[in-house]
Amino acid sequence: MKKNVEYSEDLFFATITELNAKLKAREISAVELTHAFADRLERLGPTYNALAMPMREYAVKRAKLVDQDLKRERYRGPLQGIPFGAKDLLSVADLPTTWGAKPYAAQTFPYTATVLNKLEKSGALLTGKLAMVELAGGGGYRIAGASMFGPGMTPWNRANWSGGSSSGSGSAVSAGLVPFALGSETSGSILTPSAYCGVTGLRPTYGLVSRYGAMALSWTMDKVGPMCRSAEDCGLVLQAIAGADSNDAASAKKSFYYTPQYARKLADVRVGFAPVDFAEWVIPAARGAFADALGVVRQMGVQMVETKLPDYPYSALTSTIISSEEGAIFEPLVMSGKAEELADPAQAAGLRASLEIPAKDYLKAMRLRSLVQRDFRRLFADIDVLLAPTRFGTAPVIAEPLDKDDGAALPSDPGFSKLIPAGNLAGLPALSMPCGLVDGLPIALQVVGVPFSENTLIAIGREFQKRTDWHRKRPVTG
Amino acid sequence: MKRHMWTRREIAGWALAAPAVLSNAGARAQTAATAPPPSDLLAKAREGNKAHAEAMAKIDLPMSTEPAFVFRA
Repeated sequence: MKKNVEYSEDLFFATITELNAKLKAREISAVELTHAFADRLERLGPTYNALAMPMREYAVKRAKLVDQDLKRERYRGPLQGIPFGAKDLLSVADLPTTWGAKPYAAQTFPYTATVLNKLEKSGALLTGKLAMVELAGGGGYRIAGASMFGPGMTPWNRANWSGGSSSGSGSAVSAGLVPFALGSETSGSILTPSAYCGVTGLRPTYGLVSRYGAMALSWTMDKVGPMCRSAEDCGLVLQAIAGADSNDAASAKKSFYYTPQYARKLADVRVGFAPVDFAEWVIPAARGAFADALGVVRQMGVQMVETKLPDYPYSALTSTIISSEEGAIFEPLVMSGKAEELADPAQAAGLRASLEIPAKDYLKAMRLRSLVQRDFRRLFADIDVLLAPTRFGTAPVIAEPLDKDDGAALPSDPGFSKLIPAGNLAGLPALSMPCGLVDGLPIALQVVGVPFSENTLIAIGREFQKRTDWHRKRPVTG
Repeated sequence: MKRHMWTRREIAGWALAAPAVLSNAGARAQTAATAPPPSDLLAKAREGNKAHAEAMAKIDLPMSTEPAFVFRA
């Protein structure tokens, strides 16, 4: 068994397909690959506050079985023998699942999350639990340090935030500590760290991926999804984790098959966008890079259509729904007084205030949500996907509050500035892909589609990543 | 595969020993330096909830509109 062997950096930034080819060709065994990634995750993970719990022994036990299969040429698919990490809101039976929050530091569950069981069946190897913003940030956090693991750092500059709430998942993939990771999104928690860490993240359609064994923040909005090196890798992981689950009341009872061979012709795809996003909403330093990225999308041959989002107070709806549901979920924490142990006092205050939201406000938000869904269906009658910057700027500086007001006047046209809460309200899938570097920090584009259009989003991502190499850029690590 | 059953002592030991947890000191330092008093934070959170309710009140909502969830028997 090889331990602490020096491997080329290329190994740690290879895609799932590339690693799978090495395993099949017996260039490296699953046990060796697991040790290689475990060494790196354990050595570098803490430097980004990305590691919640190393799971080397757990992974190596399973890697030995994978090697036996590979020796007998029993191939189970592209994830066989691939190490990965999981956000620490996903339970593994009898091991700690902290939800990133001190009051739950010693919490265990007697069962394993469905997505992790599915990945194990596909032969993927869980090598570590990854850090996250406490309670996925539902109380409304105002500092990057809102986590029992400390502030998540982007590997591109440790003075800057990784984004949240899937902070460790973003950092770990970005720094080559795992080939892919699972994150979760209620409103922005996969897309934001994907953008700030320069990785490709996919938020699945609500209900496509089981949430059983995942911390509940909002029963009607939570999604679990992959964060990877490429759009193609997202498709491979999504195929493994999607599907019906009788343990999840919200399961859409649909499977997902990654089928690039049947992808729509891009010339037929109508892409809705708002020019104001690129001209006014993005920070001035990023406008050139975003304009270049938009140019690449145009060259792909898609039909670009200027459009507007339906006019709703998306942030108010999202906040009211999440706060009301999380208030019900975390009432015991608030009433016990243990919410005061959270790292960010704003979270404790937000949770306490959430208990006071009248039922009529929650129901009003949910009724308006019906109209939002209706209007998005109408919008998608004329276009196929929406395109916008994932975030308008680069990763914020950790030392400053996240709610810091820089005093800049906001554009009068909202453009797609509320696409993240809007897309989450409507349960829409989204893909975030790196599209440039500004002052050494990544920026990204998001593509949003109709429910269950993940293959179209991935096809657009694949084509963009054929024409650019932003997803192949690596931060300096070590 | 036989599952290893963790004892409370092992879990507590892990939680205390994890290097990432130690960095919580840094998070607390940041919190202490920048956080307003808890009463201000609670007032701000309540104001936010009120503002959200006011924003929703501005929209005409047909009486026939049902919430975006369905109870299944």
